[in-house]
Amino acid sequence: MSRLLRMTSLGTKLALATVGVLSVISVLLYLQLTSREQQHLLSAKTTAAGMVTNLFAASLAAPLDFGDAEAMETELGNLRSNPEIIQAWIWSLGPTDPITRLHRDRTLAQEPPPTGLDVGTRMLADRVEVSRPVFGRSGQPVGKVAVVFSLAAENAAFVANRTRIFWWTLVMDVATAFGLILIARLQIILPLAKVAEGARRLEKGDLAARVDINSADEVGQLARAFNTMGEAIADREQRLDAARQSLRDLFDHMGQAIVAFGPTGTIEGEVSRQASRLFGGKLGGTRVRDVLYRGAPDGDIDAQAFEEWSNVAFRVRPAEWAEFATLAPAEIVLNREGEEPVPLELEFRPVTKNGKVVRVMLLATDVSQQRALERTVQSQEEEHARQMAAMRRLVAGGPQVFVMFVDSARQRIARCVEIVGPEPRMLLSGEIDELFRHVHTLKGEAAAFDLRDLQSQSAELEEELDELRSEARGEGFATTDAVHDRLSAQFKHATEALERGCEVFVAASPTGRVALDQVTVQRSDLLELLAHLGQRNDELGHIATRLASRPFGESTANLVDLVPTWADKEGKRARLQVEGKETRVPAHVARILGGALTHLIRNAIVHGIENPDARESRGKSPIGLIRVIAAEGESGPMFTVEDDGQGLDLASIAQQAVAIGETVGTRPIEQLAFLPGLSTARMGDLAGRGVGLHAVKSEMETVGYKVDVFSKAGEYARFVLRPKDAPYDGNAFAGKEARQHA
Amino acid sequence: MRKDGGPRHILVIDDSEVLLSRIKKALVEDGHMVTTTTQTVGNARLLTTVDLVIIDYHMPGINGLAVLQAMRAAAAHLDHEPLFYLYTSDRHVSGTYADLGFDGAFPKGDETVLVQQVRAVFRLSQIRALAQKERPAATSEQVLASNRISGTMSERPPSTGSIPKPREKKQ
Repeated sequence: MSRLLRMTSLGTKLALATVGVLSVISVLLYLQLTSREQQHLLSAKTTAAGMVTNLFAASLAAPLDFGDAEAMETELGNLRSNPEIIQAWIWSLGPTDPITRLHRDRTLAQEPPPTGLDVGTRMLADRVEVSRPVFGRSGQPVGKVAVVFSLAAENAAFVANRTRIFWWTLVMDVATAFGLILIARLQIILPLAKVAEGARRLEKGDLAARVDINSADEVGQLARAFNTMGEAIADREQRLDAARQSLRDLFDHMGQAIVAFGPTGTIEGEVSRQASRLFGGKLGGTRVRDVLYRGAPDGDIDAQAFEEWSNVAFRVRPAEWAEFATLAPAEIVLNREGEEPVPLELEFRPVTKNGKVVRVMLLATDVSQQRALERTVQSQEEEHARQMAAMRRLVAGGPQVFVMFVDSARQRIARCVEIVGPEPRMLLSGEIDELFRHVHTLKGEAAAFDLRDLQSQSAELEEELDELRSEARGEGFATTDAVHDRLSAQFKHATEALERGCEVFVAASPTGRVALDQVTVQRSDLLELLAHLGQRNDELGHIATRLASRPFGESTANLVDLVPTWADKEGKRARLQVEGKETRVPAHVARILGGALTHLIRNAIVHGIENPDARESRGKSPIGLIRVIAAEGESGPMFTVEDDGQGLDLASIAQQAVAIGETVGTRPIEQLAFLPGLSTARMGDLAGRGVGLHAVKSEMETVGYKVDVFSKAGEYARFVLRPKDAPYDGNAFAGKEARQHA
Repeated sequence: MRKDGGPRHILVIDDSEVLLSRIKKALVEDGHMVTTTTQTVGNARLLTTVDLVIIDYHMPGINGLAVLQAMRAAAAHLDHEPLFYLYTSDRHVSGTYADLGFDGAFPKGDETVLVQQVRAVFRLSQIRALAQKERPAATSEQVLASNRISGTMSERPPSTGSIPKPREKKQ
């Protein structure tokens, strides 16, 4: 029933209520009117009957007083003229039977006079019975009369009136109902329907939906409230649209693929343009695992790890998200059908509500260009390393050969450029053959020195010249009209390739650029010269000493390649940087310097450089840097070995010193590092035997050098080898750390 | 990285020095501590500190299964049994890793893929440990299952998934 009521329209309910109420009112009105009509008719009849009976009783006073029967009959006869009188009786005083009677028809003749009727009026359904006393001349009762009046006429009139009342009531009822329903429809139903229609349009997104109702009543107020609400919604929608568009623009221009997924692991809501481009088509409802690990075989451990991560993600408290996010895949390779795989860097951020993670936003960045660049750089680095290695081999075998090659190559290229000339011209076969020979030799020599660029350029030139030589074979000459510009450009590129080779050579050379200006002399001759003149303190002696000195770079030549290998053995990463390669080192110092540097560098790797994780956690590069620096000084060259590691472990040094029986506290702890037999490292290939620093100190002292050590915890350790009488200001390097002398 | 902040220790057993060198380089660059060996015997002493053992299947004179069985027997008395992963290009063998008693299988060939998958293995073990913490107390059966499936030196959570497949302990 209640459901039926809910389903019924307001108009129908109002109409039904109106009809119902009006029907009840009409019935009551009808009953009231008919009752009044009846009362009115019967009242008039009663009054008339009473008056007629009174007159009849008065006319019988004399006949009854005198016993005049004839007169009584005459009076009864007079009653006959009144058609509404159907019966009448006359009694004399005393007897119970009437003296005479009147009957309108025979059917009434046997009917007895009314009983129980004394003097008065009695109303029955079809008649009115009236009885009155008859008074004689003396005013004393002499008899009684009773007259029965028919109500047929009144009843007929009542029926006719009742029918009329019924129809009038019905007509009024219908008219009133119609009027009320019409008013309700016009004033309430239709305006409400307009408001409802407006709400429906608004719901469908028609933000311009308004209701045109101008009345001032409650419905009008409702319409105005609706219109105001519509304007507010339109305004808010516009602002939301603008915000959404801004967000969308932001998403689309972030260059990241952005999607969000819920606890079911399926993608929900908006996705960025980049996400559609990377992951393809419709992503809504797709499992994010299937998107990221498309085509992954069953049992793929990466996909499984992600799936379990995403299951746990929605149980993680937001405050713990940062740590939890580290368990998510940081990078994947996205496989796409028919396209190149795309490396993606992934980032996961929680969307929280009421302190719970309700969605996870995935930001995927296409790093294919970055990776390609890294590969290019790596390949260039590898090429550079290859060239450097080749050059070091060359240097080890004698740099003068390369210097000679460079000179001859420059001369060959210059000669070729001269032959080709500034403008196209006719070349004789002999000139072309000479060009070809130069280029061919250049190619072979470039290959010998592993100068691939120059070798490649020479090979191209050789092919070009070979064709030119073929052209000249018949005529004895060939013009360079078609190839002049190309030849000129290729010789220019060859020159550039040669110069690049020189730079690599200089970089690889332990003596730096000086190598290009060196000549070869026999060591025995030099040592003999030094033996004769080296003790002299004059100019000649100084020249002899300088001639016998060795460039500092020679002492470190093999260390550059060894340092990464040594570090690798320790599970670390490190590189060596050499500065001051050209610095001249006296022969007697150079003799022991290589060994001392080797000790200090290995010491730096074992004790100083941290493992890559520890370095990164301290904000350092995972690759440790060991710098070896030589600088000229008035008393002789000074050398520094410095690493950017954790510095000296002073506590451990002190502990070890005590362990070997030394007294701690009388001298700076750093100085204890040079004690014989002291080592803070486990014994290994590189260090830990407790002889390295002591040996360095002792060895350097034999050539008049002392060793200073400086250290700052977590930042560096520096060993300085300097002539005993050379001043050194440690602050110039590292600030306020204490300077200690060994 | 381990809970103590140190790197994970991985033991790789293969007959190829060249391959071991490449694997070691790739895994060390990824921050792991790596021990490589061509020896198929005498590695049990390393198990006390190892989190993951990667075993080549086809080696001259012996297969990875025999190595696995020996190492599992040696590791049985340890508090923290490492994970044992098969390393093979033989798809037929890798498909049966669980039956053979391995915790999982890595495809042989590309070191970069191996690095990714080793990362995933360690991530998975941490995720399962976390999931275990978030969950009500597990039944003894679940704990036993977890120990079989995904335990590492320091974390032995129960499995929440089907991969790696639970293995039967070889007696």
